[in-house]
Amino acid sequence: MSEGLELEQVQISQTGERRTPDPDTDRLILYRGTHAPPTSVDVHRENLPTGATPESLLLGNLNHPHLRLREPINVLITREDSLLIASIPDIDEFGYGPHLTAAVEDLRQTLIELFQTLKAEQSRLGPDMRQLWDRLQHLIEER
Amino acid sequence: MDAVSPHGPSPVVSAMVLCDLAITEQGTNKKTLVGIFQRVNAQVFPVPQRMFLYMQMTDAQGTYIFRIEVVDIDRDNILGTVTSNPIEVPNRLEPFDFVFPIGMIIPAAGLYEFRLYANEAYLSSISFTAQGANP
Repeated sequence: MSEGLELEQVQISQTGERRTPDPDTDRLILYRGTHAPPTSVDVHRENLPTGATPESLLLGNLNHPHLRLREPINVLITREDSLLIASIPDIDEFGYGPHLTAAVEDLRQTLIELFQTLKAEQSRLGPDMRQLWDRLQHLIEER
Repeated sequence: MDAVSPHGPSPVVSAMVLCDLAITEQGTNKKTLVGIFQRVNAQVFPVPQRMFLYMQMTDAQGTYIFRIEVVDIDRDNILGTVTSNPIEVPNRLEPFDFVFPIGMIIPAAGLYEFRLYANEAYLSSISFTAQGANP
């Protein structure tokens, strides 16, 4: 008899789908947090902005295992035809996508790739790229 | 002036999950998520839905006010927001999690999103698709 762990083959399936709606809810309700200690919450439905695309956004993190933002970065959001552009004018970098989250995610990937590239090539950078690398290090740090 | 002002590094979101039911075990505070989904299939719209939003975060230390925006992506419309009271997170190395039971009306078929903010900084999002009955 084997003493090692035996693992079943992983079954990959499509993501789940709900087919039966709940008929008993008619507005946004938040009951309680389950994090200890319990948190109480307020629900706000008044004075909401008319659109879900702001003119700017404070980006809090890069969602990367090795890199993080030193401080939240102000990101400008502009629309160009059917695309949204999320940009950081200070370093002239941007990301784009069909909606806000996609544009911000693209900007995150741009920042991560730029940081990693400049870090790897830092001994060979010219004056402009050296300046960009310095500015990027003010925004991003390694964990 | 508020006694508690939000401050601290922006947390990293390690999990954000939509599900039919989230059960919290008393004592251990362990979570069981039942019926994880990313699509809602309805016969007619608008349709009321109750769901649970589970979030796990780390790399937080300080006082945080979390806000969730419920967004109708296709119509670029915020359906509602949920804002927490200030929450104190003592240890940056220890993950913490929340379960938010949420009830909402889905106005039409399309793409919807929950956007998570901490101290007004955008952290992450999760989306689901609402679709009509099969053609």
